[in-house]
Amino acid sequence: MPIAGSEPGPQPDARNRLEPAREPSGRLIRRFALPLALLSLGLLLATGLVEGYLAYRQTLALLARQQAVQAEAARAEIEQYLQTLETAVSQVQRLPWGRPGFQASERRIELQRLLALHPAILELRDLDAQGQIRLRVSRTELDVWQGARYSAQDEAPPASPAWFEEPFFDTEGVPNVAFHLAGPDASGGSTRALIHLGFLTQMSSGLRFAGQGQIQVVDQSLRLLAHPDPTLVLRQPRLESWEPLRQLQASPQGRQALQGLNLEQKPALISAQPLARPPWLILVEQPTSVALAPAWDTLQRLLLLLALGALLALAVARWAARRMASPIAQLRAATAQLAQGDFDVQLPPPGPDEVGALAADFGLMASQLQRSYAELEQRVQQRTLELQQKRDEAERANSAKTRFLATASHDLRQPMHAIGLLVGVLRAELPAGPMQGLGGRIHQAVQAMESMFGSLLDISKLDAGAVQVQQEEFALQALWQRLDATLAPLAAAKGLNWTLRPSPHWLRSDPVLLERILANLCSNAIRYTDQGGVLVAARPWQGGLRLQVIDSGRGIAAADRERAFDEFVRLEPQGGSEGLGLGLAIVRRSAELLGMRVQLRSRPGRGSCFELQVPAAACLAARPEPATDAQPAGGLSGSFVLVLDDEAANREALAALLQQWGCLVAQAADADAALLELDRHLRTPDLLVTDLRLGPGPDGLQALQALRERCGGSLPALLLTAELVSSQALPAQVLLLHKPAGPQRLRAALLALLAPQD
Amino acid sequence: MLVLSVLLLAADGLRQVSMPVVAFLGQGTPDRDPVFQRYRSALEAQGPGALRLVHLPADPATPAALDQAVGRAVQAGAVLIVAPTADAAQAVLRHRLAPPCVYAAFLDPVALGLARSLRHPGTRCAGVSVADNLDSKRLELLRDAYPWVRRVAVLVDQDWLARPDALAPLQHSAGRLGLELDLLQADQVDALPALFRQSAAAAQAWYLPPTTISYRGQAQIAAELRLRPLPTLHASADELQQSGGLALVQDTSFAYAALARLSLRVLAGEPPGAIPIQRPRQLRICLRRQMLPGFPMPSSDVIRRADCWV
Repeated sequence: MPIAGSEPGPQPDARNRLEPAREPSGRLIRRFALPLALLSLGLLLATGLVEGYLAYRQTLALLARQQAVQAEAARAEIEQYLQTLETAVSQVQRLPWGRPGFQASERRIELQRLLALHPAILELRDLDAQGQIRLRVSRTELDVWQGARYSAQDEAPPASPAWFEEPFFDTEGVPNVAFHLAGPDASGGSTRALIHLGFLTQMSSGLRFAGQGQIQVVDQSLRLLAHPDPTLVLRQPRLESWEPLRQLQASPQGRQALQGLNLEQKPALISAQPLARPPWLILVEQPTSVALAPAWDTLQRLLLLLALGALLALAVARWAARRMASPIAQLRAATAQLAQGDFDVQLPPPGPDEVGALAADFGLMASQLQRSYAELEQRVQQRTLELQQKRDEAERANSAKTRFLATASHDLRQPMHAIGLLVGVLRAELPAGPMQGLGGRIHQAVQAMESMFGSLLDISKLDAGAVQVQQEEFALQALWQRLDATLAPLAAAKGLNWTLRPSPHWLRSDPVLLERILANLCSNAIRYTDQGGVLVAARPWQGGLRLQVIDSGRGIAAADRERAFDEFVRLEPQGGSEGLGLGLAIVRRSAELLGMRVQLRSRPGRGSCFELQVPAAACLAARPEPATDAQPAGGLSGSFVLVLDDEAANREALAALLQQWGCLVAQAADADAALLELDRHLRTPDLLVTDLRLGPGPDGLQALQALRERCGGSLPALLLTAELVSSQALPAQVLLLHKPAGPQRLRAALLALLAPQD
Repeated sequence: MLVLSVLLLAADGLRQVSMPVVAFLGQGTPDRDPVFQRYRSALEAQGPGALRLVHLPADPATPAALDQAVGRAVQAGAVLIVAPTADAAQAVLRHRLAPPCVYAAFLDPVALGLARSLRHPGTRCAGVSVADNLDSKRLELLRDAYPWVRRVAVLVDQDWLARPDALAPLQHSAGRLGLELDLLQADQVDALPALFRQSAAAAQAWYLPPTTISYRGQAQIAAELRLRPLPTLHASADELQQSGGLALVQDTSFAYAALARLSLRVLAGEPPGAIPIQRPRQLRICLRRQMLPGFPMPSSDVIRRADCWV
């Protein structure tokens, strides 16, 4: 069931996911169902075992009673049979022997009849009072009887007049027993009957019960007289060590049933019944497997029921535990799902019990969470949107600023360049006196404007990332010399000491950019020092160098040291200093490009020390000093310069200045005109001064290429442009100078181009 | 289904192959050997058993034939040999590699070397003995049945005469009974007619002790007796059935059941030499229900004593 009133929530975010909880070590089913099932099983087992034991005992008791009954029946039968024999003999004895018709021969016949009627009787002897045989009738031996031509064989009288003699085994191992029956008359005679005890075996075989029960007869000397297996009787085993027999003999009246091994060494249930006369013991036994079969069947059924009951108990317990655990498991799953940030959870239906109440509360909590998450997400999105808008605005503002600076500096640079050139021309034409001073002030103003445009251009180039570092190896001393050439006059003009300590160090860096940095720092130092001087030095530092510009100027307060490097920040009150406040910003950015840091130490009124930290990687081993740049003999006088610019004002101004310097000048507005101009002169130009943009046709560099091809050699060129051009993209022997460029810079660049190449 | 059938057949075949083989040294064919039939019935009456009964015919009068039959039984892998006669049992004992045997001996097994004693046989063979030493009692019965008989012809053979407990006790008993004996020896069935002609004049009665000749010449003897009907006392009910007179027999009905039980006990691993030899427990006086023509009726006393009628 999804959370009521919820909307499809936002997709789970990796930031919102929590680590899932560990799998619980104990499950409800194991903790509750298993003990319940085990308890039920234990109870069932205990009940079953008790029932089984009681059934077993009852079975034993029943079997004992049954066997007792069987033994009693066997005893009665044996006793009855013996009684029958006695009766038969007694009946013969009672006949009126001695009278006519009842003589010895008749007696013989009667005794033979007894033999015929009772197969168990082997022999009958009619004995007189002295134990002498009067008549012997035998099944196997010749009869001995008086009255015929036989003579009685003398045989020893029986050892004792016992009713039943001790049983004995004949030559074939068959047990026999004899009993005596006294005659009815007073003559003292008796009859001795020899009984073949094989009849007991026959009887015991016939007395089998329950299919496998059997009866045995043992005499008072513990000799086996009868057994269903006649060979066992023939073996005449000694039974004194037969344990069940000993126990049964000892038990009162032999009523109990014992479990033991029978004579065939098989487990059997044995019970006994004594025979009174003769004093024998009747043993009744059943194989345990048969006797206890009902008990085993009961036990098997019990075990089966137990097993079924156990399974049922397990199933019910499991079902009950599942029913109980299922909603809790669902809640747990829902919790895990919520932890993953998925609010589309399936909760168990609320029920009337505690788990149902828990589910309802959980659902409420999940709804709240979902709403909070949605709100939070909304706020985050909104804030992100706002931030994006502000970032876009900032970027647009930055881009606008950059474009403004680039456009403004480019568009304004052209006329400034022309003004600078024209002012230079004008000053040369002005007479000495106040006009010359005026011209000088105009020149200073123009120079100041050129400086500001140069700064704007530099910062624009840095913002646009157009400045690329050109690593080369150079002598620091050469850079010192160029600085000295440019700045020493400025310091001298203010009456300041200008000291530039020679340095033997070589560096691997961008000399132009480094010169620009140091030039800015030195010019600032000169600008803001009223008395004293400026020192420029290079000191070893941590394997590298510290390039220091030290002045004794006004100094910078501690609070202004950091913001002094910001754009458009001027520490002097407005109107108190020249410039746009971009110098130090340019210095810092340029230093960062070179991998260097700018450090400032200053005290107001005591001067400042600007330090450029050159890393050790940029420092090289000292080398011989390079030769100084050779200056063309006679400066520019006599040089043939071709001026190429589509702006007529600029072109003419520059031409006038060059002519003032003694140059021969040719002018052209575009590449074609330059080629035509070339044809109009017999000598090839020594130098080309060209703007980059020359209108819709080929640009200045293309024009240079065409002119070089026409001239058949190298033609040095000065690219004088307001465009942001990288010096890396320039062909050989081309110097770049950005407009506005003052006459001095212009002259220096021209002189450098015209210097002989090594 | 086909696979199942094949598997069942294979299982059955394996079972057949793995069932123990019991060899019966019989005569003729199995369906015409009454002793084999009775033994097989007695074995089946003991319950379903997992064994394979093989009938190996051999002339019981020829020791060599018996030896060959024992050899065939050994080759067939028999684990038990059933010897219905003492001669067959002796043939088994002669064979060194023969398995245990069970036997029925009509002569004394101890005297034949089949057992050391009735109680402890101690050999590879277990059995029952229906040996008979009732000659004296039979003479007495003959005397009781026919009191006027004074001269009795006794049919004997060489084997009977060789027994130490045969002739002397019989003669002693005859003396005590007042009878005169004519011993007539025949070892071949062919000699019987001449023998009977020879005795025709003198004998008043016949006594046929249990001998080989009386067993083998049963039919011839019966024919001769019918020709010359005289009071006759037989030793077996089978002989009585074919001729007149009466018989005093041992109840040997237990023998087949006993043999079957002995077979199963030996197959179960019981040492045959430890099983005592059983003997008959009962004697029966047998009479014919209908006397054959010419045969005199026994005395009423004996008739009253009879407990077996054929």
